[in-house]
Amino acid sequence: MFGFFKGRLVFIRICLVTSVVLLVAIGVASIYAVGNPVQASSADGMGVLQGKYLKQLAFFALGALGFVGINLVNYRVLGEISLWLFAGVLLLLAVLLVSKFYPLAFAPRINGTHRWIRLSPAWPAIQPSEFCKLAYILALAWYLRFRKNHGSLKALIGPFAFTLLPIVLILAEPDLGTVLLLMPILFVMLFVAGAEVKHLLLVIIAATAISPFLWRKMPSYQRQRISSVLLQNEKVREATEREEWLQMLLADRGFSAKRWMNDSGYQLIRSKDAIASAGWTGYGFRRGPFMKYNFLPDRETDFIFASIAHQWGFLGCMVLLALYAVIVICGLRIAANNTDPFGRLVAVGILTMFVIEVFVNISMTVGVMPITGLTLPFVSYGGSSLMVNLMSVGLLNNIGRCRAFTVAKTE
Amino acid sequence: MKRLPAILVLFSLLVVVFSLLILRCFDLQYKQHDRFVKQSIKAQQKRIPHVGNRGIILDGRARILAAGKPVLTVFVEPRAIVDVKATSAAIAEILKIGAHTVCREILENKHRGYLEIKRDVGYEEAIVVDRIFGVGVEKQWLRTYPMGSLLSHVVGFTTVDGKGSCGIELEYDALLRGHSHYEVLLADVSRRPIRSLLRAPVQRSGSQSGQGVILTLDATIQSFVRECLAEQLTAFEAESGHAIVVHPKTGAIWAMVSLPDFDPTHAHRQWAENPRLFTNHALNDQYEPGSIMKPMVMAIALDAGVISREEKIFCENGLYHGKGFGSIKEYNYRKYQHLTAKEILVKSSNIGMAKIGQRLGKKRLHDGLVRLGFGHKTGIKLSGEATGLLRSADQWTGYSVTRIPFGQEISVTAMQLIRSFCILCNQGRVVRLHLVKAFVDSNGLPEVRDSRFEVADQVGYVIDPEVAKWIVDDALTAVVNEGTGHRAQLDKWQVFGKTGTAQIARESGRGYEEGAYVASFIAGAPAGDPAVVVLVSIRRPNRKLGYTGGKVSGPVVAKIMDKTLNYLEARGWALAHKESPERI
Repeated sequence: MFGFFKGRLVFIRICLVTSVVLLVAIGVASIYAVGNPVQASSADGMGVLQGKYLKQLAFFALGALGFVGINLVNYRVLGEISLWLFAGVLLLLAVLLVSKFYPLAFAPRINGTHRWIRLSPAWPAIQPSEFCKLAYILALAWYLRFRKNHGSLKALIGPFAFTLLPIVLILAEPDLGTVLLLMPILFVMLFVAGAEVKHLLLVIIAATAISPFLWRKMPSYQRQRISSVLLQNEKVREATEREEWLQMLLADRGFSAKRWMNDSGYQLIRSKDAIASAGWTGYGFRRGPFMKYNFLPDRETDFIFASIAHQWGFLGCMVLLALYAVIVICGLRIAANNTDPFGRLVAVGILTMFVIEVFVNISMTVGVMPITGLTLPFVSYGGSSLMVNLMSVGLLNNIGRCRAFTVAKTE
Repeated sequence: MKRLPAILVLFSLLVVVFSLLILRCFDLQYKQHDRFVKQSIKAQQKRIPHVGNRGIILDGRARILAAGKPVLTVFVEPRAIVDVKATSAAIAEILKIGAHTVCREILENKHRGYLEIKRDVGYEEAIVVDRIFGVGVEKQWLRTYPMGSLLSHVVGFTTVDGKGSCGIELEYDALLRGHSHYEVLLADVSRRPIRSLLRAPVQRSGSQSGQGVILTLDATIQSFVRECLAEQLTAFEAESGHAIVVHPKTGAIWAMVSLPDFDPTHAHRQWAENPRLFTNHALNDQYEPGSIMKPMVMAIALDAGVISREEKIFCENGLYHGKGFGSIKEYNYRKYQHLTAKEILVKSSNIGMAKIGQRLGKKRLHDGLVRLGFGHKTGIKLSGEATGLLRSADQWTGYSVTRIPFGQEISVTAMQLIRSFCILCNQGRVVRLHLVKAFVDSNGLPEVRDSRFEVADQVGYVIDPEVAKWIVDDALTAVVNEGTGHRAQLDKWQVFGKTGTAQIARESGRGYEEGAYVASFIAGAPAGDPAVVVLVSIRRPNRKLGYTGGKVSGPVVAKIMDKTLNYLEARGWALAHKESPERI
C-alpha cells in the first residue's frame, strides 16, 4: 500500500511528508481553536467557525488521495499532459471571467470577487486559481526543459507570455495575491533552468522603472493597503496627516489616521496585537482574547499565523517556521538530486511557491509586507489550497523517488 | 555540476527570508511585547463614564442660581435598526415628535452607534420607548438656571458636554465639575459591551457631585439693579450699561449687572447670533472715568498734605493754560474764582483738580493712584477682567498730571472705581472685592471658606482715616445735597456720591468721539456708616435725551439705593436715617 514511498531518498521524503502532516495537524488544531475557544458562549457568534476543522480534516483526506494518486504515475507523464492541464485551468479561469459580466449559477460572487466554482450547493466550492499554480509550474517546467526556450532575451518572450495569460485572468477575479506569486516562480525557474542572469536583471529593472506609473494609476484603497506597511508607524501616519505630498504619495488627499486605523489598517493592527501580546509562549491552546468576538477577522484563513502565534507565542512560530524549513530543505535536496531538467524545475517551482506563500503570508501578518490574499500553505483553512499543496508535495515525492531520466550516463 | 550553485543560491535566499521572519517575530513578541499587550487590552475595553452632577451655585441667601437636574435622554443606535420607518414611527408616537424628522435623522446620522433623539423625557414614556429594539434611555444631567438671564454674566453657562464656559461656571469649572467614574467593560469588535470586567458590582457612589459655590450676590438686589438699569437704558437709548452694588465693609459684591445680557439656557444659540451679548461690561470694559476720579485724587492730595481743607484755590476764571499742559476749561464753560477743596468737588471744577494734580506732582499722584488700586486688576475671580491703563510716572507728560485728576489720560474699570470708592467709605482701609462667599461639598456641607476675604480688615490704611471720612461724609454728601449729584438724593437716607461724564476716546489716534459719553455715578449710603456702594455706568446714551452722569445714571443709583436699603432694613439691618440722632 505504501508503494509510493519506495525508491530513492527515502529518509528525505519521510522527513518531508512528516513535516507536512505536522503542519496540517497544527492547522487543524488552530482552526478548531478559533472555532471553539475556551469560555465562548453561543452569543459570541462562533457558529460559523465551530465545525470548520472537520471540513479541513475532510479536505486533508481528499488531499491525501491526491498525494497518493499523483504518485501512481511517473511525473514525466504529467509533463506530457501538462499543457493540456494548463489549458483546462485557463478555461476555468475564463469561465470565471465570463461570470463577472454574465452571472452564472455555478460561479457565485463572494465578497465582490469571482474566485470560486460551485457545482452543487452540497459540495465545497473549488478555486481554480489555486489549481492554476500547480498546472502553471508543470507547464512552465515542461516548456523550459529545452535551452532554446530561455537561452536568449528573445526566447524569454515565450515564458513571459506563458505567465501573463493566467495573470490577466486571475487579476480579473480579482486575486492580487496569486498574481504576485506567479512572477517569483517564473524568475526562480528561469534562473534554475539556466537563463542568463543579466537578462533577468534587465526585466527586473524595466519593471522597476514603470512601477511609479502603475503606483499612481492604482486606486487609493489599494495604494493605502500597500502603504500600510509604512503607515503602521505612528510617526509616518502623523506626518502623512500633516503633509499633503505624503498623502498623495501614500494614500489620498484628506488622509485621516483615525480612519486608516479603522479601515485599511485595522486588520494589520489587530494581527500585530494578537501576535505581539502573546510573548514567548502565548496564551495557550484555545485561549487568548483574540480568539473570540471577531477581534481578528480571517483568523482561520489568511491570518491563521496570528492565531497560532497568539496561542503558542514565539516558540510556536519558531516550530512552524522550522517545519517549513525542513520541507524546503528536503525539496532542495530532491531537486539537487534529480538531473532531469523537467523534474528539477518542477521541484524548484513548487518550493518557490511554498516559500513565497509562507513568506508573504507571515510577513503580512507581522506588518513587513502589504496584506494580500495568500494563504499559509498546509495550515490555512481552505480546501482547494490544501489539496493543491498536498498534490504538490506528492509531486515532490514522485520526483524524489524516481530514477533520473538520463539519455547518457552522467558522472 | 553546473546546476548545483543555482540550488545553493536558492538555499541562501531561503536562509535570508527565514531569518527575516524570525527577527520580526522576535521583535514583536519579545521587544515590543509590553506595548502591544497594553494596546490590545485597550482595544478590548470600553469605558463608560458615569458623570457626577455638577455642583450647585447659590446666591448669598441660598437661592439656587444654577443646578443640575437629572433627565432621561432617549437615544437610538442607528446601525441596529432594521426597519427605520417602523421604528421611528413607534418612537415618534410615544415621544410625540415628528416621525418624519426622526426617520431622516436616523438615516442621515454619521455616527452609526449613537443618535440623541430627545432630552428630558418623562419616566413613563422612557420605559415604553426603551422596549423598542435599537432604542435606549440614559440618565444625564441637565444644567438649569432658574433665574434665567438675571445673572447671566456672573454665573455664566455650560456647554452641551457640561463644561463651564463663562462666568463662575468657567472660573470654578474644575471645582464644580462632577467627578466621573468609569465602568470598564469587555467590548466586542463593534465596541459593544459584553460584560463588566470588574468582579464586584458597579458602585454608583463612584461618581460624585462637584462642589457647590455660594456667591455673595443677592438675587433680590440683583433684580432691583437689573430692572432699574434696563429701564434707564431704554429711556436713554443707550448702547450698554453696567451696575455694581457692593457692601463696602467686606467688599462682598451684592449685585453685578451688565446689559445687554443673555439667557444661559439658550446661550449657544445666542452666541451664534450675537456674541456681543456675552461681554460683561462691568468687568471687560475699560474707559476714561471722568469726574468720578476727582474724590480719589482729592483724597490723595489731602492725605499727602499738599492742600488743606480750608485753603482756597484760584480757579482761573474758567480758562487755565500754560506751557506743557495746554489749556483746561471747566465743564459748560463755567467760570470759578476761589474754591475750597469741598467746593471743587461740589462744583466739579476741572481747573481746581488740575492745580491739585500739579501740586502733587507726578510721583505722589502716581503712587496714590496705585495705592488706591488703579492700574491693577482687582483680582476678582472672573475671567476677562480688564486691567485699565495707568502709565508709569516717567511716561507722564505735563498733560497727564493735569488731566488725570479729573479722569482723563487714565483708563479704569468699573471694578477699580468701586474698589477705590470702597476704600474711601471704609475710612482708608483696603477692601477686597469678591463674589464667592463659601464652597460646599457634594453633601451640602460648608467645605472651604475662601480665606482671602479675611485679610480685608487687617490691611493698613492707604488713606488717612480722617481724610477719607471727610471726603465721604462732608464733601461727597455735599455733592449730592447741593451739587451735580442732586438726583441721587433720598428722603430717608443721606447719600454721598460723585458724578462722572466722560467722553469716549477714539479708537484710532487722539481725541474724543463727538457726542459719545459714558455717564457714570458712584454713590454710597448712608453717610457716616455706609452699608452699600453703587456704581452705575451707562455707555453712549442718546445725546439729545441727556448724557451727564447726574442726569442719566443718578436716578438709577437713587432707585437702586432706595430699594436696597429698604431691603436691608427689612432684613433687620440697623441703618442710620437722615433725621435720626445717631447720625454723625
